[in-house]
Amino acid sequence: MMPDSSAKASTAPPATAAPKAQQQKARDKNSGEALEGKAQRKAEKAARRAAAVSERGKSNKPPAEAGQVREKSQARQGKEKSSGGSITSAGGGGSTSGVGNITAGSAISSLATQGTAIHGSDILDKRVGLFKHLEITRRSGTADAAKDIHPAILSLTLQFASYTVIGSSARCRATLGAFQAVIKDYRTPAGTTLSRNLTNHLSRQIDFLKTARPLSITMGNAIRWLKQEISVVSIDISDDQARESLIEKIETYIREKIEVADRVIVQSAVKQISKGDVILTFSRSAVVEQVFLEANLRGIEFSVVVVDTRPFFEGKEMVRRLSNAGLRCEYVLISGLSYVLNDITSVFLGAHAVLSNGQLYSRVGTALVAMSAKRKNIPVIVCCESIKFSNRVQLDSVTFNELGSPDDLMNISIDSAPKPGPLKNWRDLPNLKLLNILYDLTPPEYIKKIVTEVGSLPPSSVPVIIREYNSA
Amino acid sequence: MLAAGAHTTKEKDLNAHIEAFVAQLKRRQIQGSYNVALATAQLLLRVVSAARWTHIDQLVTQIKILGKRLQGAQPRELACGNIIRRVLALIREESEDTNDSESGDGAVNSPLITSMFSLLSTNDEYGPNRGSQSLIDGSGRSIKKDLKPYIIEGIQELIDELKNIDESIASMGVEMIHENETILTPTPNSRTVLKFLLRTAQKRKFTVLVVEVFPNDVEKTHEFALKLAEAGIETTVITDAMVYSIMGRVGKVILGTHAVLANGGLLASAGAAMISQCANVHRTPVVVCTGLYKLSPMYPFDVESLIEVGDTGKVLAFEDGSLVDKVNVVNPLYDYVPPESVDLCITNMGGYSPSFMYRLVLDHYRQEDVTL
Repeated sequence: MMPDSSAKASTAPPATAAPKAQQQKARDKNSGEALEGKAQRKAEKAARRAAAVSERGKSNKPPAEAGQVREKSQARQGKEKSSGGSITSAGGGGSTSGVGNITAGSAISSLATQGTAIHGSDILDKRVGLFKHLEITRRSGTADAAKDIHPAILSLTLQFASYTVIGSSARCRATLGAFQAVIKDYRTPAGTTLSRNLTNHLSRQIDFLKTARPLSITMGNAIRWLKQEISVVSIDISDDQARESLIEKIETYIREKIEVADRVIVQSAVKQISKGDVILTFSRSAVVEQVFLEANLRGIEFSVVVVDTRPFFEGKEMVRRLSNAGLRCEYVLISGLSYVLNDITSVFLGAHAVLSNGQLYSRVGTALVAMSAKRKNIPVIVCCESIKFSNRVQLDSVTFNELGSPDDLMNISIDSAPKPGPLKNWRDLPNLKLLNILYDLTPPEYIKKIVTEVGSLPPSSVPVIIREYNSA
Repeated sequence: MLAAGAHTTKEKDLNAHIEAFVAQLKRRQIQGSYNVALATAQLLLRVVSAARWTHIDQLVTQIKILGKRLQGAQPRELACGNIIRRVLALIREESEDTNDSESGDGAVNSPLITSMFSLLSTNDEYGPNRGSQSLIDGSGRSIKKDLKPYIIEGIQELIDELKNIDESIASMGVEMIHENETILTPTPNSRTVLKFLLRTAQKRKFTVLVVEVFPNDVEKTHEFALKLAEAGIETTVITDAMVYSIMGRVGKVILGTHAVLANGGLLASAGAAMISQCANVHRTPVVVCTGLYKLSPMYPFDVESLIEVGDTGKVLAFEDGSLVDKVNVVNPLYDYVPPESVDLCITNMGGYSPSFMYRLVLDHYRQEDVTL
């Protein structure tokens, strides 16, 4: 079915897909929340029918059902989507640049939204062409969860989706905590062993978690380690003992890899702060915050400038905690970066992950801060636990990223009360798109050093650490 | 202010008008370079029409005094002072022209053609001395009467130039943008850029990435994006933080500016400096669209004094009382973009590189008018 539809897609004109997409859009918009599921199933059928018929060309697949099946179909659809997407750009005018071809009529976007998505097909018609290979995950409720999803996982999923728990280390810690609860309540079904079945059970929980937001690198590393630990659980010991030991091991892991690691990093990084320093930091990093608090505790006189950005305004929380501790703080949004940079002595940044080619993968805006600092010869220091090291390599922020909700840009408030701006009805305009990406990539040449619990190193040494300490 | 002892109704009206204008400037009821420039030019038209002088330097002094007051009402609105200086240069030019034709002595003053050598020659006596020197030589009374219509005509031309700036800049768009290009614009509050893009869109199909300038211009940004989208241009709105991640895919950066300084540097909206730097790093050309009325003869000796700061309540809401007390919040409205970051300035008189801007300053302003 896949090669067929894509082959036919190249012959069919894009125009036929556009009215179908619009109809789809209208239908989805008009139906209320209650009828949405029905409309989705109907649309799904129609889409499958359309995909089977050769003349129809491209199809617009609606949200799929929840559950593990989704992953498989998503993988299939993902492949279809990418092949269909590339053919659209080839068929749509023969232009070489994919960017110039972001025509709204292209209905090649098989859905990746899962769960109770709001305006499922609308989101995809409005996706920016450059980022069409990335999925948008949206979740507003857990009504569609399968029965075997643990309540701790359900609440964690909602916390992720609403950005209540945010930040690489925080998410990892919260996930491991939830897994402890899952393991505690787990009972091995008859006919299988814990070491074999628990992994599958956890995988189902993880799949549900993924519907809120993609896994962070720290979560990925932790899960890999946990699965490894589960697989080596001896058959001889009882289930109770096995569970207890696993919970104990998770506790130790959190302590070693996050808490103790943070303490070691703080000891090391505090030496970089001297009296009279004006230090700039971007958004909120838990470990950088600890460094500042420790330096303050030691009585070093310095001040901090926190640069923040929307839509999350994480820097506000950072500046709140620092000022509560008595630090002299300044708060500015990223558009004011050049204005404040003149007085800065050093820059401390946090990380979501550090990749194997030395690139720093962190909150969007970090690259701008690092670049501006480097141009003024201000040293940039990154504080990062080894759990954040990844084997991945990446060259730019477009090939892999996380897409956030575009409506976050439509809302122009600076606090929790949403305030819709002039772009309230941006979905009605076919040529208008809002782009909200969450991460960006900072090249290693902008970073002076990375402070980790195994030592301070230049960005190029990251693969060495991964190999030597086996932390990824 | 007008000559002492002016009591006619016409002059009282004019005084009232001037007072009202100064008050409007102070209260920011007139805001934005274009509006201020146009209003200043129109005011000067009225002032010159109503003014009476025996020597031309009296007019010059009157306008200088008025100009100082206007500039002081909105000190960082350089467009106001620029127009004043343009008009002063105009007056001096007219007077020297007439003087030359009357006395036939062109060599003494070298009025129109400013060569680099006149830059190097030291001129200790500026202003009244030099001006009156040339004029007392000629037959005083007949000159002053003849000049007024010419000056008024000159100011009228200036006003027309102001009104047609966007048109001439927009027409250069097709030379700048090719088909299927991606343009990034970090200053969506610029009308010039909007017209530039809309005009070019009639002949080219391209994509525009609009950077929100949060928090000061975000509403204007969104309206800008709406207008572009309605005109059929593929528009994507992004936040300021995303610029580095997307810059590798951008063909050109086109920005508008609040002011252009004599060294070719810009005073543009907040964030423009880091975005231009980002473009430099990626070797992406940075193009500025500006009318010549924004060109100021000032040098950025103290950049921070030129940058205005705005409402901090837009960055950190005042409702967040506990935080507002402890934290120092900054909300700069403008950014200084150094001339090295800019590749091209497109003005209503054509395209120039930033290193050439000083010549345009010499062409349009007089050295003696730089300090009002």
